[in-house]
Amino acid sequence: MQCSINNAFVAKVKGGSKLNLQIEIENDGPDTTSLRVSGEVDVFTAPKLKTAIDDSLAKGIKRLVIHLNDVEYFDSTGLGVLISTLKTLQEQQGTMILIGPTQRTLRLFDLTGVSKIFTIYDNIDEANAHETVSVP
Amino acid sequence: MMTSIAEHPGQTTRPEIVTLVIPCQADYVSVARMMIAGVASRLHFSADTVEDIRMAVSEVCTDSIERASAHEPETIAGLTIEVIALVSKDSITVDVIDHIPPHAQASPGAHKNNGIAFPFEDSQAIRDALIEELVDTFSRSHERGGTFVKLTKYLDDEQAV
Repeated sequence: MQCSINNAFVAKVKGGSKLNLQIEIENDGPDTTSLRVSGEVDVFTAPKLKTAIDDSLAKGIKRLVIHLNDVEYFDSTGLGVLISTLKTLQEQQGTMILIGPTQRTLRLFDLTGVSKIFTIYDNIDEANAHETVSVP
Repeated sequence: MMTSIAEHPGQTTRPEIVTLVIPCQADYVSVARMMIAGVASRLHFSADTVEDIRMAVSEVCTDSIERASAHEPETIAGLTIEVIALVSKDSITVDVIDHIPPHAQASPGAHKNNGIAFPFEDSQAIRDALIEELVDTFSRSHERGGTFVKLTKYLDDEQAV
């Protein structure tokens, strides 16, 4: 298994406002990409998350693993990004796996009913216990 | 951005009012979240309830920004979102006021603001349903060319720390 970190950033936008969002992207072979998201995902930062995901999807991956352990805030715009990502991956016969969302993020998923359509694991061990292919 | 704290006139119980005015820009929503979390914490809500109030206010501000994003930049330049929190002994009421036309009156065309993704077909409906779950009362009205939202959360024995 070859794994490389090819992108990690704390982005800044025009005007100097600092994004409280960090995304580390790891490619785990040709079919799988892993994103480690930390900080706040809201109307300001969600476009950056979407860009990072879209860049990965453009490479034709079949599996996207998104680690949410260190997400401090997650709102409906972030949820919208995940839903559109899932839709795109399903159209490509791919899968999206969410690892370690906080209780607050899970509450958002539950209140909006999307926890039923997402594949969610508490941690990487649980993911590997259920997935047939190793989860990075 | 402007903040002020004042006693609410004419109230015998002297509730307190905290007002925040932010530019109608995505990067200021986090400021509204910080403000409302600080105010809600004064009422001794549980941490989860404070987070619910914080998210509800954030979603309302996000809705304002989404509506603004449907207009040309020059149309919305200088527009603000006003967040007014009224803290009484057993509740917090938050008014969120903007001067952006509601969805039905918005200019046609794709959203333009900062490339923000709003992938829901009816994001306001989903957002409203979420807000209704997060607070005790929620109302939205359109007046004077803008939108007026009122949220209330009551302190009860279960929520109190």
